Amino acid sequence: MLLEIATDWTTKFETMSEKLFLASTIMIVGFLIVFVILTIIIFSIKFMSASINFSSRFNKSKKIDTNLVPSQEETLTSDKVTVDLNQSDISDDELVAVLSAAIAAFTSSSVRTAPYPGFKIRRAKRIG
Amino acid sequence: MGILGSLADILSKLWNKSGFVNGDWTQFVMIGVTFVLFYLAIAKKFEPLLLIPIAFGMLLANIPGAGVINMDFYSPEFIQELGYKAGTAIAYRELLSEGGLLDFLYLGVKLGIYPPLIFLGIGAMTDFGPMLANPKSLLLGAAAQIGIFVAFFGALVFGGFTPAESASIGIIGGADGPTAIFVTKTLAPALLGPIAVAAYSYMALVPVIQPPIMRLLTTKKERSVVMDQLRVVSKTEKIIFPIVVTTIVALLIPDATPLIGMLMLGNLFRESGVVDRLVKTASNELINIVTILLGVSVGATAIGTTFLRLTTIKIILLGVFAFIVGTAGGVLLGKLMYIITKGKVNPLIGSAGVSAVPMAARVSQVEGQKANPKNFLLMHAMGPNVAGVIGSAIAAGILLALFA
Repeated sequence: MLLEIATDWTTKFETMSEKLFLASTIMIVGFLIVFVILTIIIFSIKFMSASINFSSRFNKSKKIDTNLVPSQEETLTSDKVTVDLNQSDISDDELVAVLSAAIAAFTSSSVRTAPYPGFKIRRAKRIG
Repeated sequence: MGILGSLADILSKLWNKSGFVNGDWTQFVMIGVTFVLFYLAIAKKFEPLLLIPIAFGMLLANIPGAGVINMDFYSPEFIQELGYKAGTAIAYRELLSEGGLLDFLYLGVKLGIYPPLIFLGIGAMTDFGPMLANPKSLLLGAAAQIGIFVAFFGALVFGGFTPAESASIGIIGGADGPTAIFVTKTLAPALLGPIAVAAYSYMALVPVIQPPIMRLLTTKKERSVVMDQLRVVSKTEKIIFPIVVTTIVALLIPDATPLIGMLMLGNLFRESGVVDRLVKTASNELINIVTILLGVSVGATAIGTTFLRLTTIKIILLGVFAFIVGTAGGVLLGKLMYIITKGKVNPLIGSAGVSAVPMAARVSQVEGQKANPKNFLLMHAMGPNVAGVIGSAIAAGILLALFA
């Protein structure tokens, strides 16, 4: 009989105990389901974080193992950086070093900043 | 005499058609209620973004003779009399031929369009980083949803409401206006007006309702706990998170998909970093437009004859009860976590599990600083706060699955 009442929510409850039983069942079960789903999400987040951290650590260790001296082929020949140099009191070598560091940071190629950033400034033009 | 007589006739006709002659007392009381809501929204700044449109919709709907909205188009008895197929929710033919502005705007509520679109905007504005940095805060978001189910119990057993109505009243405890509207428009559309006004009013009253409960349930030592700095969350985690959550929740509770799906879509827009235009639109123009349309059309359902009843007072009392229990639930689980972690978790962040973002998190911050001026709990409280949005959407899905 309780199952019949449970399947038709618009049925008027005959006794207070029926109402109490269904109300408390829904209250407890509903609340527990929210908890269970959010717990599943917690574990998913932890698994996801662990996988991403493992993957990034694995990739970093692979990059560090490779030869840091760039060969001719490794130079980004298509990425020519032309820079207009306005300051005359800084040496060209210093300026090139600063620009290399800035570009390396921007392109997140920091693993290869020492001593070679993974690209090469091929030409710089001073204006003025 | 002839001209004077005609003039008198004209004035008499106009007067007899005016709202002053044709209105009943409930409409004038409701107009007075709207003035109070305007005062609260504008002078006291209680959730003005929603209370102003809601109050104005209420004002328009209660002007005698204005006819800006006709709720008969959505009434099951009226629809049945017109000979529509059983289960039809809207009298489409009559709506299209006789409907006014608010009748059409209300379609966005009835068809469940506005709340998910608001969630899209909320997702585009939300940073889930603090929650991802400390996933245990999801448990605090879950604990705060106890208010929904306890209020459901109270409404069903003691309030004399049907199970569907009780579910709609219970969802007020989630402190989430769009979720409350999304559930109520399906389960108890006749109660939409009072439930919407109650939900948004309590969201605005978070800084008033929560602090006494927080202080009652915690000691000064507990409130003074300084929590460890949160770890840095990578971009990749923030991108994958919305996809994972949508998949898990939608598979488990399909009825929660519109809300959770749009929330996570908005968040994916934000975190992907490749659709700035969509993020700007979702978090500004879209959410503002939908807020106006939702507020005005929901407010227009609060007509005197349905609003001014004992039912409304019961809803208001059950709503505040749900809110109090939800806050207490979050704080109590926070206390349990304080004990288990040997004092590393400040129980105050548990109260932020009610999903009034970011007000509830700010309240945790303020209360924490009162106990310890060097304490900065805001980011720690944002974890449970945004978890509460997910939790209340899941609770809504469960209630819709059971009673719709």
